[in-house]
Amino acid sequence: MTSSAPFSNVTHDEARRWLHAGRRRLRAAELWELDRHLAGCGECRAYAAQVEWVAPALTTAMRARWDGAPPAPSGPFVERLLARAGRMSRSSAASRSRWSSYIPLLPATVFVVLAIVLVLNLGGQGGVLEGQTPAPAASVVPTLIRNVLPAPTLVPTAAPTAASLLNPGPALVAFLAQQANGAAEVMVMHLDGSGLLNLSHSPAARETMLAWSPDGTRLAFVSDRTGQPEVFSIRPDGTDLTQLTETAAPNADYDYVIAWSPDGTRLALALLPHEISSQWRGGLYLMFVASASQAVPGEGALLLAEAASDVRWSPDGRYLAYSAPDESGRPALYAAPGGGTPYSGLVNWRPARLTPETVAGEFNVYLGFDWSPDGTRLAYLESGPWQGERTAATIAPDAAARIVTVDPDNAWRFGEPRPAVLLETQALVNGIRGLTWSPDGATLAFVADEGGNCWHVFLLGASDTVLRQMLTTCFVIRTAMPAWSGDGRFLLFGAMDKSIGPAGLGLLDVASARQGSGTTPVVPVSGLSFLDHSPVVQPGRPLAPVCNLRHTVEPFDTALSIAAEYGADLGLLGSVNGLDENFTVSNGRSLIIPRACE
Amino acid sequence: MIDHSLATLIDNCQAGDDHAIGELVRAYHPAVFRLALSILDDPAEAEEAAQDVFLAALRALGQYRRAAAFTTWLYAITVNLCRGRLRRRRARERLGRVWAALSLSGPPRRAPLEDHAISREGAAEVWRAIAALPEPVRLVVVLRYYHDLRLAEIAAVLSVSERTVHNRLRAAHDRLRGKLQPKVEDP
Repeated sequence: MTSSAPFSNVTHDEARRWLHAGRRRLRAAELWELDRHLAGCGECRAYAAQVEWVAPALTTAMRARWDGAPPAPSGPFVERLLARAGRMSRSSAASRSRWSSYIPLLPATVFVVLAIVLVLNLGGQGGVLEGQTPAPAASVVPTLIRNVLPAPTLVPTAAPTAASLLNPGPALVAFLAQQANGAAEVMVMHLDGSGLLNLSHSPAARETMLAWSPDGTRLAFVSDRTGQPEVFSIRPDGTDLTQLTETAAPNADYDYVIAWSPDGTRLALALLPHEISSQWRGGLYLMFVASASQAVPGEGALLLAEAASDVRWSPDGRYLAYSAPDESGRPALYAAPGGGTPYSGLVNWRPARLTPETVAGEFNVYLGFDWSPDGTRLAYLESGPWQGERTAATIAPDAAARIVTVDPDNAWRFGEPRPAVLLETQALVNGIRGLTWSPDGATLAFVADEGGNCWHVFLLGASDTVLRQMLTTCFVIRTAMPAWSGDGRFLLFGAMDKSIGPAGLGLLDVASARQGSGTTPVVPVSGLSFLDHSPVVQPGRPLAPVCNLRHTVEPFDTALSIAAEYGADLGLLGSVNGLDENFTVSNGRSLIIPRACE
Repeated sequence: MIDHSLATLIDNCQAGDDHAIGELVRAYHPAVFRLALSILDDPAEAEEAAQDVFLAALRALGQYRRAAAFTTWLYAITVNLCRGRLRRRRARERLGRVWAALSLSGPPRRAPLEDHAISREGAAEVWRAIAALPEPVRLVVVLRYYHDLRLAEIAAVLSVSERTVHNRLRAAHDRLRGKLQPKVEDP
């Protein structure tokens, strides 16, 4: 009975091995697979019943027999042992001279000893004699790495071309756009609307979660095109689509959060189940890649933590910060070393808690976190306290939203996160998110709902804690975290706002807004219907600013006439505004006119 | 990987520090004794075996590879030495039977642990089923269900593959099914 049952990827033999290992030793995914197998295999179910009935009986019987026989007290035992060790060392020295006179009799003695040994071992199974130097185990499975999962596994990917590295050009922005048929696709384009490309081309699949490799040569995303969510990577020109994970959890409803290590050698993956059950809790995984686009052959994924909902690498690659429930199931943030080389640094996987314990019956929720660019601090958004069970909790009357920074390095090494509260406000408690640190480390940006579904972008000085509201125009934010351009001049986000269109990407000029006063306009970048995930800016390249304009379609206007009027490229006009192949424009529609800054 | 304090302790033991040796032995003596007892089923002999184990381990400390768990290494020594004792015991019993046949004095009686140590009749019956298992199979059962070792640890202690451990556990369950099934199926 070695073939795989039709209802499961697990063989009967594998299922029995898991039963032998014991349920409490299995990981969630294995338990899930085992139960799935047992549900469809009567013979294995009978065997499971036998093992799970007999095993406790065996343990009970052996405990009854042996637990009542305590060892002799250790003190006298140690004295006897030391005395024996001393005698042995003295006798071995003495024996060398005492027995030297018997050397001529040695051959006969050996013969007699061999004969006695032969008699004593007649019928025995051969092997080790008492007194023989004991052989340590031939191979010992290291227990330092908590789990090595067979899945997800890494699939090798091709190396980037030299040309793409030498001629980077302006940065691409990757985002998830909703198509006319309702499907989400992974899109990239330059800020001026050029180079718009559908990377995923999977109308039937659901794409979520984007992450550029640190060198900007690949984009990782999550897609359920194979039937369940998996992590893929692709070059920004749409070639070399590669599946990076193979998740052993079919039919489970989950998502991945992706974080590339800054050197591109590791991927941290938070596997986030949409419904946490006793059998399926997800986890934080680590995969090794030789470079941003090349796999380490034979390496699987390491399970670092049993649950995680978000993960972010420190910019120096030393630490992983992640959010996960604590022992009592309440939300918390943790940091642990991300490892310098494969496996080193993971030998002592001891996550340090960054967020404070709360009193019984209360908990805080964490709505986002980000590392400072120099990696010395981590800022997080906290809301609470909340009271009651997680699924039916109510916010406490004195609850507030807080922005706190901590020192993860100190927390890990000395157990002291050294928190500093930068902002505490009850006004924004109902909606605050998208905390992100500016590239120069001077500013923290976040978005907040001040009521009435009016969202604004706020900037908070990281050292002077001056709070600035950057937008006075009411708009509906559609992004979890605004993205900074590499030079820190711009913030890019998805939003719904009349100035942008029904939904789209908007660009906020932070640098000029800091110097000016009053409201800061959002430059519409794309009228493409935008989904509720963060746009991500290709690293290592300048984000060319745009000075797009807006035109409201009037009677007798055509796309061609509008393009001619502004000197714009017709194709670009169509792609930025998501026009159909006939460039149909309807009367009264507000179109984005792509235009470079002068 | 071993932690720093254990590494220091081992270094000091190798240097012949009696205090360190005492500390190491005190830390691991209960576990070694318990393992020896579960193989030999004789407290007095288990105590002697534990002495042998520590003497052998102290001599072989230089061979200990620190990437491995220290307990696994110590357990491997314990199992090897106890199996040697079991073989000697079997040989003695065989000679005893021969002697008894010649002298009509009856076989040497050994009652290391009285069966009344088992409080319940059911447990006694289960123990008899365990005792009747072949030694290699019984060892795996003892390590898995009494010492609660992982399959990989059992494989390392016995110097066999995990596949072998799995097969022996399966053989154990197959053998025990016939003997225990009527009992365990009783409500």
